[in-house]
Amino acid sequence: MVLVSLCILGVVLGTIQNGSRSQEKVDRFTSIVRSLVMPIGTLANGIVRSTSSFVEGTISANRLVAENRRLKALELVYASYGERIDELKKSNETLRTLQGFGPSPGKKRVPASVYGFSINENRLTLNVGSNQGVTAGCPVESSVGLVGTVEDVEPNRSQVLLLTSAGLQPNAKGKALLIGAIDVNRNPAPAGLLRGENASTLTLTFMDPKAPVQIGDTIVTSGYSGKIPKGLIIGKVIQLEPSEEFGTLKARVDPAFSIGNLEVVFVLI
Amino acid sequence: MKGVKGWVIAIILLWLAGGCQQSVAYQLSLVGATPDFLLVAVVVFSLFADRRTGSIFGFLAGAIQGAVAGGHVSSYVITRTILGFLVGWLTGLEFEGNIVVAFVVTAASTCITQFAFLLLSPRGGILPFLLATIGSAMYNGVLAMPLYALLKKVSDSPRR
Repeated sequence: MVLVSLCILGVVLGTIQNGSRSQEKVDRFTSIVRSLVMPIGTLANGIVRSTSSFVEGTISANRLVAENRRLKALELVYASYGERIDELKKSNETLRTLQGFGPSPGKKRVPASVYGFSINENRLTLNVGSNQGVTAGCPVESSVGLVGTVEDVEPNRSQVLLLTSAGLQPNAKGKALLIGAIDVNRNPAPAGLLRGENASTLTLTFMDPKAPVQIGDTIVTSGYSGKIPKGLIIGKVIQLEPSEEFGTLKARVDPAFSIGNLEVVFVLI
Repeated sequence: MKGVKGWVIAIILLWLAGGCQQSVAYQLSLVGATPDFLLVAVVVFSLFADRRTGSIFGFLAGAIQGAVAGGHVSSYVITRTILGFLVGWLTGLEFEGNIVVAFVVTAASTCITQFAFLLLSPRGGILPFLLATIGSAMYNGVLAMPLYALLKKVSDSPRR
């Protein structure tokens, strides 16, 4: 009797969760549980990362010292260029305003720390949310390329559905339509529809079995979607499967990001 | 494990396991196999509980996992509740529990739960899923042994 009641309660919870998710909201129960679990999760995450860094630092101390010196030198160079770039940007904006073009289009990058990952669901949890301007559907990138899009948002937390998730695909609810393109420098760049295959592979489907695609080509975002800007790196083609029968060409893509290396990402708002 | 002491241990265990599941599990991945702290907690705690308590613990663990993971909470709740019930029922058969039993029951439970979960939330890539499930079963089994020993010690400790 208890078993059946609890299972029914589970279904009710699931229905409430799905209802909230369809409105791009997080239900109260989920929000409370995440808030309760977050402190211990953050602490545990810190302990594991510190231990890992300590061990890595001990093993490769010499290399890290040399790299640190090189990065400090680069930082000085960057600072001098940075000031010049800021000056040029300001004068560019002023000229645009004077000419009546308005501010230049573009996305603001909000840095975020990754403090959770669900393997079964292919979801990352970030420490930024609506208070920082994050909304559902915003693309998330790492230093190597596109990671995924924001799925649900709370005031100071958000969950990201990874690019490799089979759940990240176009649907009728206006979610970001992910269209990958081969090397934007090609003219015209062939474009196909991208979807997650499994935890480590993506599939890019072209509607032309003779699309000019080669193994090793870099896949980037096409920019056809309103929310995901053009030119973000997705990954590289590792396998091609032409199908004359269906008139398609399927390219297997190795994503640029690796989940184990994700500590800091940027939400493009 | 009964009474207030049992529920205090259960709540602490759920809290710790939930936090570790969210933030640590993916960082402890070995050859594609990752630990499932909440599942280990359900199995080991239920080895000290009856069917009813096991079910409730499983329900709470499933609800936490569903909320933290952002997946379908019903799939997690149903699989974990049934698991807690079955392990609690097994305990009721009055067999002698030890760390080897904890290993075997946890490994088997991981496989069964993952397959049930696959049925409730179908996904692509069966072979990688199978391999990851077997690896995770071993991983969870190993984690269950020290946790069982710890809970055994706590449950056997005399009341002051």
